[in-house]
Amino acid sequence: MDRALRDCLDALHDGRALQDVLRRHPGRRDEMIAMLQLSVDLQQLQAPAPDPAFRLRARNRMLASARRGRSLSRLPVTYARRLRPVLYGVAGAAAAVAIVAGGASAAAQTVPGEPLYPLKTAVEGIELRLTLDPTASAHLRLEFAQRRLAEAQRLASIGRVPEAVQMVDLYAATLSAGAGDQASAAGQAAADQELQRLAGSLNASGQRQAAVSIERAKAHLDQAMASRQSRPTGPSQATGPAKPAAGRPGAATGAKAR
Amino acid sequence: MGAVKTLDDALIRRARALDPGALAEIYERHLDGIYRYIYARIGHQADAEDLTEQVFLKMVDAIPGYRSRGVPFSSWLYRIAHNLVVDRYRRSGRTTLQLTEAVEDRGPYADPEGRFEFGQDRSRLLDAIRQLTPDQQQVIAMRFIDNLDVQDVAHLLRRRPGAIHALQYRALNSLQRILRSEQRAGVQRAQGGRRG
Repeated sequence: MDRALRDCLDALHDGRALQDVLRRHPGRRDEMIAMLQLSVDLQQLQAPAPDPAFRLRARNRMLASARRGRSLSRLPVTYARRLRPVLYGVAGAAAAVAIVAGGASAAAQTVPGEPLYPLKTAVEGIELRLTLDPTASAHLRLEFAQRRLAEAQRLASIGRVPEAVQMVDLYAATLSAGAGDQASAAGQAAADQELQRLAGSLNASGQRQAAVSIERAKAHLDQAMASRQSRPTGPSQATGPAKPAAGRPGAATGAKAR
Repeated sequence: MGAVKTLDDALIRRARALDPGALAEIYERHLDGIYRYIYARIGHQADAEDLTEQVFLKMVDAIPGYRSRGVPFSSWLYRIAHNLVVDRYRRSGRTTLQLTEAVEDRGPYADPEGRFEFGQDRSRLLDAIRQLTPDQQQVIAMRFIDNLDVQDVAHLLRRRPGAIHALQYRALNSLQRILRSEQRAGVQRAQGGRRG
């Protein structure tokens, strides 16, 4: 019963001539043509493609997560064994807190001022301390800086504009301080776009002062990145860990943001 | 169908060792498909982005233990996406996976007349799809909108490939019947309106 359709769809998929297939099913030619037309119509009903900024952000997070997996698996066996109960203890305690407060994923989505936010920054601190590989550590700092930017966007969307500006400052400071070495040109362009969009939406909602602050942070960041790129890159600069901004210990982990 | 389905063994071997290049390649191959699969069922950009990101993070967690066992890698990845969508549906109290209004009309038709003559328009198609049985809706969406191949659909719906072939035939047939009867009803309404 479905054989003719199957042959026709296979031919369409493989780019073979449909006429040959239709000739094998002469009594069902019109029915098959109508079905194929419908299948083509259906293919036009596709959801939109992902946003380019999201594409880059999710890719970076996935790769950062892989790097963490690799760096943990590379710990010396004895050290890893010694650490294992501690890690389980931390994970268990974090899970218990997260469950009590309404779900494990809640902590990842939280913003400053919410009950789970300290847990989020504490976990970030632990992750940084456990990541011994300098490159992986720098990537982790970059990932956490990107979280600060996402938090800024969320804070702005719920009207907590001064804190949103603070988060953008933190983001720019972390990147200026060195984590930006790991950001590709495309990543930097996407971050620029996001800052621009945030400033634009604040401007549109009458928050001119906040928009100016964000544009200022963006300009400082652009300047820092440009001067970094114009400097000759030594091996330690290319792969070394990012240092927090001077006078802002813990900036990369958002410890000062609370 | 059109999506890339076959990942060479070497690429998967590298990905299982969490090689960043291999993971990035898999990501680039599958991001659009996975995102669209989720978006079409969730209908909200931020949620679709959140779930898509989770799919790839879960992939990184699970890939070191991945064994093909005759199941294509793409099926395995779509299974992760499918489970996340089902989980999100459950939390929001919905039971059946459905396409949302968010699906986009990417028809090549430049003018409405051409669309009327040569293709079905978006809302008519969506309305007609919603009149199919849940199984038929799923198979239509997966095969012809998500562009998944029969093996992937069979894996996701936990059916044999032969059953999917039969189901897609019945689904297209029913969809055609619904569209034709609605077209006839539309013509009758238009004629009645002119007479009145």
